[in-house]
Amino acid sequence: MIQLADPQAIAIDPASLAALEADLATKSPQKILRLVLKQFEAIAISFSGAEDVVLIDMAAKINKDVRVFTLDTGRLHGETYQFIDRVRKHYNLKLEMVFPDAALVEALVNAKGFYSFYQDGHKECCGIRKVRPLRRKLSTLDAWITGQRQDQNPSTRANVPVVQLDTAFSTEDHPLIKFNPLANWTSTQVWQYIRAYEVPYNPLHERGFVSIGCEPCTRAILPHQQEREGRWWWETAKEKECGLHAAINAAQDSPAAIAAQS
Amino acid sequence: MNIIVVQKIKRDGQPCAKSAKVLGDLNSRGLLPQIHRIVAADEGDPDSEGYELAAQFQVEAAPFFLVERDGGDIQVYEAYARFLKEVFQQEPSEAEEIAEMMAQNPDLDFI
Ligand code: SF4
Repeated sequence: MIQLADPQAIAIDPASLAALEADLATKSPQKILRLVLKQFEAIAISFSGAEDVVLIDMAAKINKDVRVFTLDTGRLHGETYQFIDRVRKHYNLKLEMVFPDAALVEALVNAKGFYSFYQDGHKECCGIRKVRPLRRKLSTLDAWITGQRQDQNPSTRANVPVVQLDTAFSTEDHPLIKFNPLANWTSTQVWQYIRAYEVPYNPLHERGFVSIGCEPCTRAILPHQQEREGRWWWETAKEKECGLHAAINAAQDSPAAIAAQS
Repeated sequence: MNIIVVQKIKRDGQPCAKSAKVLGDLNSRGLLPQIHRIVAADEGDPDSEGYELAAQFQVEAAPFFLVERDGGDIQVYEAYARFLKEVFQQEPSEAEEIAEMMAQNPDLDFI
């Protein structure tokens, strides 16, 4: 059961969330944060060590005890670890670090080495180092706040709303609400904020890194490339391995199929 | 109940990674004898039965599962974990559950 500071304030049925989305979509990230930090007790910001630092800056001005967690996959850049520590000190945060299950990482690395993702695809490693620990952390929260924005990836984030029921991590008896206060902001707005308020930022951004993930799986991208193009770039062929799409078209165009249609 | 598993066979004659993994798991759970047929979607032959079934049921990735119940209705399962739960009442492993979450939410890794 979600613990709301004011139980009347936010209802979590789909219709109420849609109405809340319509209301929040026109509000500034700061106003959204002010509202949600007041309403939820078990709520935390997810900080990836990148531009989402602006959320911490905004939230710390509202509530200096705001909860922030960071997932340490064990494979982040040295610059990112230093930056995370800098943010911790700058905002005097009790940053909650979340680590993967050591036994699972140990088993993966012992079986396949440190770079299995270059052969087997990234999903197995991401599942162990990111998704499982994130799921464990989120099971302790009623709501979380992310820096996801619509302009980050037109194919997967174009419709990111300001508020949503997190269908990936909710369970039948534990609904989880996800707030994306920057959903409607552009990268330009984020950087205007960073400059205007002298927010500390990860030095990797100065070297062309837009999104910042694990060191072996993230690379700098060119202006106008999509952020996801900076991740797992070697995988296009591998990901298609189990796909049936191309041949579905071929099967539909095959002599047998054409004969069946005529 | 009639159960068909469609696996993809690559040009080198080997099953695709996910098909191999799922069939291995079905084997280790002792469920293979309950699979009526394993059909190939042969990358070298777009007319192979597996591709025809994929086109018929609009499935875009292997493996997938066709379950014909006693009334004659055919249900398509694209998610292995759900197939395991609903057809065999078996709990998927946490790794399978996570793999499925990631397949259904293609942005989960982007953190
Ligand atoms: S991004 Fe790369 S190193 Fe990081 S968890 Fe995923 S596969 Fe592993």
